[in-house]
Amino acid sequence: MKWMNKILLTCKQATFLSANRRIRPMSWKDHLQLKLHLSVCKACNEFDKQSREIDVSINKLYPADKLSSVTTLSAEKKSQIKDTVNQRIKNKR
Amino acid sequence: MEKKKIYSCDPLNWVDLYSDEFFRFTISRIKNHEVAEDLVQDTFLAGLNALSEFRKDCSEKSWLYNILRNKIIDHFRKKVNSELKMSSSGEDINEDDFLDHFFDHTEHWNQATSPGTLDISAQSKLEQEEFMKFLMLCLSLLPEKWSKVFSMQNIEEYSSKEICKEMEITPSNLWTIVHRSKLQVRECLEKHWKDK
Repeated sequence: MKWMNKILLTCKQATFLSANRRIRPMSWKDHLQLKLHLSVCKACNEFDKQSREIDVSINKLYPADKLSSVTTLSAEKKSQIKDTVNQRIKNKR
Repeated sequence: MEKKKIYSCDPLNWVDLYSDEFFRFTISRIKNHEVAEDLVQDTFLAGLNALSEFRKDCSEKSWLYNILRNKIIDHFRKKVNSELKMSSSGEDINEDDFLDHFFDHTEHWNQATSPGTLDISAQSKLEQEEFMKFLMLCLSLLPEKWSKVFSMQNIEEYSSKEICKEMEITPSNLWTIVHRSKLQVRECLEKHWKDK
């Protein structure tokens, strides 16, 4: 069975590769081993799928740049904040 | 407004430099106009109070962003907590024990923590919104350093290289953090999102 351990990843290793898909360069060996592991391990397969979905969802959580620049803070609120900031600075001195 | 390269370091300029962007950032997450405005204001005031803690070698904008992000998370946390009555856990994870929670000595899943199904993508719009609230909550339960990495990746779209530089960590540290964060966030979602 020793040769099996050399080829097959553990779940810990497989989830490490899965979780870092987006940011960590994978060698062809990583690719192959991960693919092999995912083909036999239901739990890691589920983790892999969900990890990608979490990435997608997190990106949706942070869509600031995609909002049009038309949305701005009202001039009224701006000057109110400025006043408050000014006041606080004065009080500090 | 000229391009963003100005580093003001002067709170008097903050409103002109950042308020629109911060407001957009906030309103896209918190649909309530007034709450979003107030959070932007709170951010500047909190920044002003903590000005002495600001390290000049990092960007003022990302420093303020971090304050804003925490304000937004607090807002969500309060909201979700009151709905859920959940105690915050996970803040003090022991680094060594962390992976033992998920994997046994042969490095395969512990039965109790092995991933169950979690249907994220196929949801109605309403469910999506609800899901986002829980995602936000689960992200907020990550240890501070990990959640900072996440926010740098996603809010400010730093590259891995930049994150490593600013956080003073190696790429392997970064990968370890992402690995653990994903394990924790996924588990948290499964626990709380599924019951809904």
